[in-house]
Amino acid sequence: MSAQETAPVPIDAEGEVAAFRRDIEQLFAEVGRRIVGHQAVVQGVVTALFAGGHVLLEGVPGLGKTMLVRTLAEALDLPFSRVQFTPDLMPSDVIGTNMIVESAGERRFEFQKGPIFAALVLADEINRATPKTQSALLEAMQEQSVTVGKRSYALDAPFFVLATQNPIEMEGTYPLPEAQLDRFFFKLRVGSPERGELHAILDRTTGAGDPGVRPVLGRARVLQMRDLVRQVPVARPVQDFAVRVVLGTHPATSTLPQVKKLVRYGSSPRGAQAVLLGAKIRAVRDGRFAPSFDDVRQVVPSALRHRVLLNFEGEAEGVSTDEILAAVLAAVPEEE
Amino acid sequence: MEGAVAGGLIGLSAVASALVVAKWRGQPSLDGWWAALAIGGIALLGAGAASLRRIPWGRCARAIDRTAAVTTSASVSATASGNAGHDRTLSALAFAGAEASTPFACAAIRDALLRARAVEASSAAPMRRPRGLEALTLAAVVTVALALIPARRPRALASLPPDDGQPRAQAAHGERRLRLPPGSLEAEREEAAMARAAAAAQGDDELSKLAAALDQALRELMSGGLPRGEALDRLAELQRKADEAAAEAERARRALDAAGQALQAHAATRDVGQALAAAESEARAAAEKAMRALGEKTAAAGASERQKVAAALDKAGAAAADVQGPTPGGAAGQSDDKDDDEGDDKDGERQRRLARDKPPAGGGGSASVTGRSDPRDRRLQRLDRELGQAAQACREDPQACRRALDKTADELPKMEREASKLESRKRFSQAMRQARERLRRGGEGSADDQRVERAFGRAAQGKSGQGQRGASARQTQRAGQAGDSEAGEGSEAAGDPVREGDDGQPGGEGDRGGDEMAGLLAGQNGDGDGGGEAPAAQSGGSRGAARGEHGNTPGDGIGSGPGADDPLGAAEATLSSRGREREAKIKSAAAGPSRSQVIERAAGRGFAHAPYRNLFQDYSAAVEESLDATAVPPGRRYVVRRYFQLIRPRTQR
Repeated sequence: MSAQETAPVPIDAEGEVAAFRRDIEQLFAEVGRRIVGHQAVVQGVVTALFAGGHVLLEGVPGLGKTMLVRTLAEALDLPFSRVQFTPDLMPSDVIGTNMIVESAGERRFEFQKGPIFAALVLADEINRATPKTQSALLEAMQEQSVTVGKRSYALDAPFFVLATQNPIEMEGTYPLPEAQLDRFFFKLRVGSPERGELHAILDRTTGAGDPGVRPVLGRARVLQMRDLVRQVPVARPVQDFAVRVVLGTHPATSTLPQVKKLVRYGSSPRGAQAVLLGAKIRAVRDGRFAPSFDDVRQVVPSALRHRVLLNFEGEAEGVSTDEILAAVLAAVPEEE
Repeated sequence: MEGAVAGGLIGLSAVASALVVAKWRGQPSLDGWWAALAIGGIALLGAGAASLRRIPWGRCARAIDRTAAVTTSASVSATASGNAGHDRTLSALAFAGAEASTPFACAAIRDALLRARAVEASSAAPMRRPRGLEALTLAAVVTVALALIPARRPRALASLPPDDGQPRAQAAHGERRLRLPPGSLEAEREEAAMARAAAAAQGDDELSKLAAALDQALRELMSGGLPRGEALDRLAELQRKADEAAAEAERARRALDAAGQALQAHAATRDVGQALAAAESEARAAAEKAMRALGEKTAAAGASERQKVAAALDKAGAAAADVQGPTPGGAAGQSDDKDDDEGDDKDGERQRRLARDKPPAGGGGSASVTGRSDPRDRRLQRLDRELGQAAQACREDPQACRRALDKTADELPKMEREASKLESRKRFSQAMRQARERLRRGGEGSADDQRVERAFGRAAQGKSGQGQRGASARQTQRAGQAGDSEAGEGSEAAGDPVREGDDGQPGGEGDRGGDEMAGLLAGQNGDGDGGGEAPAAQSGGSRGAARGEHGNTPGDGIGSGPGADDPLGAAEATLSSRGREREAKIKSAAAGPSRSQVIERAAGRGFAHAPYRNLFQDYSAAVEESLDATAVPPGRRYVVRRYFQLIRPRTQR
């Protein structure tokens, strides 16, 4: 939302922002009871949740991705489901199927909902499934509904998908096409825990008890917070900076030689939307009423790293999109 | 402040530039007060302009936000985090400028105001050292240094004689004496010796004197006893005299030619005319005999024949008198004289007749009529007079005519001797000119180089003589290295044309080498990852390398030679791999563009044309087979497949 738009209902902005900040800190605290470290990942996931987007997590197995989503679901008091993607997984295994049900002496088709009918869905190793199954999930992510036969079924809000993929085992995988990647709000990299964090993980997980997680937010509050984020205004210079950063990733419009040489396609407008929404949530989470240039800078890698596509030269040279984005951020001035 | 610094910098630059110009022109230095006033004035102007400049509001807001980030106050609202700043003021100003405001925008403005109250202006915009102060200091130092440097004395002033009236040579007692390398004037001395020999052979006293003077001057120069300026003066004087002598000989040559041309027009005097205008010296020597024979023949002829001879002699005399030789005075004067003669030919002839009818005692009168006061032209006047008197005598008396023609015949050998001195005098004059030029440059070059240059000059004119062959050959070699084919042809008389051709080759080889290098690159492209085992590619590459070793021009990397036609190798090439050997059969295109041309077009215009699609199928099949058969790591297989995915043919629009 830009500064020129008006809010239909007057609200107490200071109070709303303070409540948002308080609730989100509670959420972080509750998640932190079970999840050790990974603050950036947790913040990114929560940001995407309140922005109404989905997250692609990239990391090797065993780093606690599933635990994170389960913990988040418990803290948010939302239904959770997990789908392990395999090459033989069919779309109906994800979205559900019509089954013949016999009741009162007559047979009829009844739709059996798949695991996608949950508020938080963990699509584990999404790149192991065939493109057909991937498309079924990604359509649901985009449309917030599934279609079986001639009937569409709406998914209850909030609907939040966390997909994971393993970056090292590429054999027998079906990498997500560029158009599908664009539907993820953030792409987050889950790194290995540090020494202290590993100690804490061992202390918590190898003991007798399990640190319980209390529900701190409900479905209604999550939706309320989503609405609040949309009302945060953005100053035109900050928005212009975000736009220039996004345009700076395009080889046709960028002045950077790395971009011209190594990038095939730059970010789509969805990337700019993700940057701005992420910056807004970061500002409100910080107790501010408008995002700053720094908020944009912090959000850009997560929002654009999967939207900038390298050409063959870039892939062959082993350049990461994070390096390209860092160069773009360094080259684009805040004030034009 | 920064405006003042910028203005001061501009002022200092202007003053420094003015100082440089003044010093270069040798003018006295600028007035210090005026310079200081100019710098101060421009600095004030800069300060004024900078103060009038409007500072963008965004910049002010950023300054406040930066300060707020540092000085976070405890009185700030509880909603604010510890991470202050965050472009609050910038956002608030943007929201305040918007037409409609939202609760969040108002809240943002209130928040920014609350924080801005805690910010002091002095801390937001502190006094700081203006930018460019170092440059200003440096400019000031440079300007002062320029002011202290003494003005350069202009060359024109430096070359003037001193004010005490001493002659230049004496005044320049401490003048730099030339330090010539030993033997550096050997060529000039050789010329002087040759001139003396030629003068002795021709009895040319004047040339002999000039050659002796030149030899003396060169001796003094080599011994270091002659300053450069004086040497130049003496050589200039010698050259002037040599030019005059050459001009005198040329006038004699032209006079004889002109008289001969005139006499050829009449049947009775044709023999004499042909002898006088002949190109060979032996034929010209026969003119005296022909003139005496003409006298005897005319004495025996009738009055009408004598009248014809008299008329011919008159015209020959007039033609000889009209000759304008090259004078050291310049071409303009010659041109004017010629125009006058052509414009008023009849008047001139009448005046000449009047003049030569006067007694010889008043010889100065003839010179004054023709406009020539040079005593060297007396020989021409004498010839004119003799011819005129012979014509007069032939009109009046046969015996007097014979005597007069005998007398004219006596005069002809003298004129011929004078004309024959032309070549040696001209050569001496040319040598003098070169010596002066060399001396003016400070005696550059070794004796060998000078000899080579001189020999080359002679050879280029087709005048090679004994003892010059070696020098000419060396010069020819140099001409060949420079790739100047015309110079090479010019030196053919003395040089070695074969040698010249050999040396001239590398320049041409470069271009061909560049083409062949393109072929080599194409061959390497054809090798691909297989390591260059495709026979066609190898042959193209080796040929390019062998023939292009002298070339400097790089190839374009595409090539169209045999090695470039089949980038994957020959029709049945054997690809070697780390695993096991296997064959990959590729169809060869018998017609149409070559593979390299198709790939080049695809790289330049896109992957959406039919030939590329066909070619891609060949490649992709071969690659898949190779990937299956060879030990390519899985990670690399992905890269290879990804590459071929990226260059796959696109749908044609």
